[in-house]
Amino acid sequence: MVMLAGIPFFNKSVNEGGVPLLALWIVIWVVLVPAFLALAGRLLPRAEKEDRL
Amino acid sequence: MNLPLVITAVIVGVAVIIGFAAHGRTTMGIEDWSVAGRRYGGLLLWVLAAGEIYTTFTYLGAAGYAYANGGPVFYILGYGALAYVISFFLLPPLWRYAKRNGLLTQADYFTSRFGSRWVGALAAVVGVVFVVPYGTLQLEGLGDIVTTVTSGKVTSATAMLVAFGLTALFVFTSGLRAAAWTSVLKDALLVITVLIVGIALPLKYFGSFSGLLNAVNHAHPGDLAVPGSSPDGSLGVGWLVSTIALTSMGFYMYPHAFMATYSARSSKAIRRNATFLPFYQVLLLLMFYVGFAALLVVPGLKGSDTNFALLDLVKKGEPPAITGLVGGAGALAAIVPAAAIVLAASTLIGRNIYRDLIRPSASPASVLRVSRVFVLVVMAFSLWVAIASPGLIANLLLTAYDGVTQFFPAVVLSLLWRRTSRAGVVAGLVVGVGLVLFLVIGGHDPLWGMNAGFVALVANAVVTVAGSLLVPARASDEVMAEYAPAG
Repeated sequence: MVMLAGIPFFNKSVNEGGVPLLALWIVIWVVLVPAFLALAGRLLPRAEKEDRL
Repeated sequence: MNLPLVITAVIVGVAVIIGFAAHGRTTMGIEDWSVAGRRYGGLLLWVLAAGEIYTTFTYLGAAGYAYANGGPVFYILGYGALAYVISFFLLPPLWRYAKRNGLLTQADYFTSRFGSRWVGALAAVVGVVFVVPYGTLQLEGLGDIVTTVTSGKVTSATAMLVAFGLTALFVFTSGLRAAAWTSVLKDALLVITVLIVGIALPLKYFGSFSGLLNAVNHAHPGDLAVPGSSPDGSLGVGWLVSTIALTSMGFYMYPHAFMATYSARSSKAIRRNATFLPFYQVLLLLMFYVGFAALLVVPGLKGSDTNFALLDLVKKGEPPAITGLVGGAGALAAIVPAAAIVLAASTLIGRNIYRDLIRPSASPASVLRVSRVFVLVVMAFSLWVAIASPGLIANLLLTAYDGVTQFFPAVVLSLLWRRTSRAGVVAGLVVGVGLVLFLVIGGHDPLWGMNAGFVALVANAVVTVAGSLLVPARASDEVMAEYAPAG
């Protein structure tokens, strides 16, 4: 649950999964956020997409 | 010859030339000077945003924070990315409203939306009070960087005086264009040096990133987890979550960041910016690694000396040329945000205090003249505080982020809820800012395991809603339509 919430919890060695937990934290914020925003940008209504005043 | 000093001086010199050249052949009106004529597309807006966001505090502070506190530093990765999500949805309607109403400053938004120059002036005062210490922090950071990379051959005061005297002049001349174009050089250097230092140093000393993490975990068990090595374990899970929430909401509430949004050519440029800025966060991760590496390689730094973790490690493990590059990049990481900050503060004073309160009949040319004069005044004041009594800003600085975030409830509610009233906004802002000052300066941060600024933000939001219910406004359909896309 703590892991799913994205809370860093790295007091483990590599063999115990410390680095994969860190990698998850990075994936959530640095990879999933731009991916989500790119998707949201594509799903916007046309008027919003072509917005030039 | 002191190679790091020469390289740092050359980099700062090139930046100053770029800053002056950014003026071009344009005849500058107030709109050109303060928001670059609202002409910036995706790339320049991205560079400008990164230039303003990733400051000397990020450059030195991220490594220092990792060094001092361990695991809690990962909040920085979270709040930055979350702030871009908020900006993706929040900034385009604000940009449309600003463009349709010819707004130039953050306080202009309050004046226009709530129909009161006094509300705008209050927003201007709060903005200036919290943003100027942030500019002073950049000055002090620059002084420390130059003194460290030159091994004390150039004093902190001399470095600040020269670099920021020149910065004040190029902002005076070129306005926002100076900040945007010097950002190009600053971002390029920052990326290069962070990649060099952030990859090379951990690998040099520990063989791999996982080797570094294992070594830190072995030497300081538990430090890489929340609450890390924070004093009394105060930076726990509650603090982490509330701080990520608070800082992501406050991210674009700094007057200079809010104002930079107005320089966008289209709302599409703003959304694209939000999509790509999270990638910049990878650089911060490398700075965390530098901080962790420094914990083992240059141990024993205490208090504010932890901010030197990066520079000490670079001086110890890299050749002088790299030290010079890092020094130059660090100096620009101070100069660019300081340029944007002083521009925002002086425009707030020129438009929302001088024009709106003192001389309503002032022409745009007169407002520009006054704003330009205040560039020099604000910079001189910051310089004086930084040199004469650096302790003076310590308390205000602690409250800066918490303080500017208090604009968030008013801004969000104003575009979602037409009943949001000036009475509610003023009451919320006064309660929020008052609580921030009382809690943070009074030493009650964290409060109940949460960031005190977040507690103030919740109180502010509740008061804003309650005040707007008690003394409601009713924004017309025409006003609400100004947030909507064309057509």
